[in-house]
Amino acid sequence: MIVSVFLPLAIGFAIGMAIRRKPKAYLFWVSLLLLLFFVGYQTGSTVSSLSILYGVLRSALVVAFFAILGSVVVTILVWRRISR
Amino acid sequence: MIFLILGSTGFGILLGLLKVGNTTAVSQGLVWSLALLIFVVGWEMGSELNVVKRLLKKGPKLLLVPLVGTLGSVTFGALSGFFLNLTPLQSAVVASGMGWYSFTGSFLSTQGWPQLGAVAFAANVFRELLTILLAPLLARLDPIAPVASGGATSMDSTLGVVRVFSGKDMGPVSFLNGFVITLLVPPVSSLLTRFL
Repeated sequence: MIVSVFLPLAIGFAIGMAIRRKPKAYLFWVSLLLLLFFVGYQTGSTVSSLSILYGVLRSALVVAFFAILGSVVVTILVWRRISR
Repeated sequence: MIFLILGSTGFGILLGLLKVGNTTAVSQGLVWSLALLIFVVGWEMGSELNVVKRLLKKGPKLLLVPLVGTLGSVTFGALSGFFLNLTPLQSAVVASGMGWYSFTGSFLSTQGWPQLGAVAFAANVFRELLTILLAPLLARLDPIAPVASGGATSMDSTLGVVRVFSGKDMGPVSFLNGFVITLLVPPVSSLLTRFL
């Protein structure tokens, strides 16, 4: 986790702070497309049937709805207090 | 670009379904491509630190927005587990992605939770899509609502809809919200994953 998440984040952040210039856009897109391919592969090899795929999508939709609801409700309450 | 994204993901799903390729190589590829993406995201955020510093000078209270947004998402995400075939902790981990689908899905897969990774990937794609679709309605509720809904995406892919439906004044708040949440997602997700 340290090698794949925190170290690259810290190194990238330090480079960005030092040179104060954004990375070339193609770097982002190449890494994103590569990652999506591998995530897709993992998803495809995990989801072996359409019924499992339906279950995954149903769960995903419900969690997404709740996550949005939670963020929106709590943030509105706090925002109305701090923006007065 | 949307076709490239769909094509890349779809091609991966197809090869995965057909079980073509070496799974060890795919696992390694997943780890290194995740590292590369996070490196690039970190670089971009480091280069924008001055913008964030300027925003924070206007009002440090703005930091509360991403903090409570994340807390609300994780808490309500945990509640969703009661309606699904997931434990509250699993659904909380999925919700902790805050719309950053490329991170959460791959992160959970690399940690040995491929099926939960698939749910996380789809849930965070849905979060981004729902934010774009619901932004006009959410903005009527309160201009901050689309920002909160966008989560990590409020600094890039949903920033446009926030500016259109919540007003241009909400643009900087949206950017700051996405910036802080993007920094929060890796530690929060990894912390929650430890208890899975």
